Amino acid sequence: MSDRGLAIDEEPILGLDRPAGREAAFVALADRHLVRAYRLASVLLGSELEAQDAVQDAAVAAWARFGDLRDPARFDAWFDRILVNGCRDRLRGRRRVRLVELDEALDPPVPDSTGAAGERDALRRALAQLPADQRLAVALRYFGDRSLEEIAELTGERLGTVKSRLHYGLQALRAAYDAAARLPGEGSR
Amino acid sequence: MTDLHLDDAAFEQHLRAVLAELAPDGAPGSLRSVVAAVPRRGVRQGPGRGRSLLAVIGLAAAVVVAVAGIGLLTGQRLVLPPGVSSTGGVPTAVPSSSPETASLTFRVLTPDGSMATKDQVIAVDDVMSARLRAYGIGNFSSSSGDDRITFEVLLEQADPPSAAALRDLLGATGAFSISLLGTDPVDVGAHVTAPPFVKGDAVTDARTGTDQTGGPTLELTFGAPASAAVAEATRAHVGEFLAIALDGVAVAVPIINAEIPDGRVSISLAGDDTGPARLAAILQSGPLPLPVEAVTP
Repeated sequence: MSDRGLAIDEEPILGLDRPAGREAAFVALADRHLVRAYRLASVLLGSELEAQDAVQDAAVAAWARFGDLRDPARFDAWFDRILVNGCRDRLRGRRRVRLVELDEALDPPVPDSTGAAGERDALRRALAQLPADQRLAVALRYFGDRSLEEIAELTGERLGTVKSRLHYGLQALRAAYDAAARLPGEGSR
Repeated sequence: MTDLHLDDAAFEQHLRAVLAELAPDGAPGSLRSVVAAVPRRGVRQGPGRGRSLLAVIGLAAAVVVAVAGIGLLTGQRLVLPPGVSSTGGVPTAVPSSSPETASLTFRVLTPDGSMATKDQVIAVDDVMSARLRAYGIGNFSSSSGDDRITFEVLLEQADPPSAAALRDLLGATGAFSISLLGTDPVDVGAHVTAPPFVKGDAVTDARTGTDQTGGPTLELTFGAPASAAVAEATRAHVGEFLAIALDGVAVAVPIINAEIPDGRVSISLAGDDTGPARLAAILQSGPLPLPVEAVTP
């Protein structure tokens, strides 16, 4: 499922040029984009609860800078840039140690006999271990279907940097996926 | 660097599926309300956003209820004069016979068995009220008289909408502790006998979340003293088990796979979705200063 930020078939927001209409225009634009923003943040962060915080932070930052937005039609991409940068800060700030629950420690997950579930489990675990910038690049490319150029614009990085991060992120994910596929008794490919 | 284009359709399909699993179908109504209110507030909310969100929800609910004339007050406490029982003819905002309302009464217990003082009852009421709010219930009333506290809660706010679940939530003392178990773990739900190295009001923030497999997690932040104790213990005991306990009962028994240096942990939990929310609410509000017993029939 693609979650592109722009929706060109929606009604234009009026009143942005009038001070009295700015608040209403912002609320209308933000509300229209809310679900896509929340879904994107949830994928980037891997936590719906933290995604709520990230979207709210982005809304506060967006409102503070709303006067800088020249073209309301660019609101979604503009908001996403704020949101993605906020999510990147949150990912970089995570230094949590994920504890392994007892059941998992004593009874390591048994690979699914069909293979597919085991490979997806491996992908989930590898995704959680990716460095923040690599996770962003992978998620924006394969959840948001963004082009490399769009990812560079969203993250404020150079195109070469984005390519590098996507390359190494995919490499790590692919290694985990292939390792799961090679386990005895499974392998869907 | 030649691997930008995936040459395996199966891998790409799985990757897209794993990412899509993380995306919820819609946005919570509470988030929509908060974002819509941003221009009017114009300021950044402080830490503990979950509580901020709940405060907004509670405020909105209070407005709706006031308009409807139901009369339930948002977290309002009615302190009755000494000697007047909350069940002794004092009118409550909502009839306890209402099928949507739970009426829950607790008696505050003191160590020496004497009747709890008014200040002690109020202190317990404060924590219990905070616990309800942390659980996402902003629309309730509490009243106290003698050593008893009665809560009136609209059940539709609770998940699950069960008076028994609310009684368990409010009635738990909430004494938090972490113990080292060495290499001999106990079962979740078992009583922990190992001495705790962290106990009391150690948790400064507690939230629920989901891990990469979609399972529920409890995300805890410890205060400075507890953080230091956790860092020291986990550094010295990698490979051993911890018991994270509430009221002496293990709620998680993780193995230490690395030092926890910053007092922040994310614990994968077994069980249904409501358990972590209950735990988070209890840990967020802190322990009751005195234990209580339920006296609701």
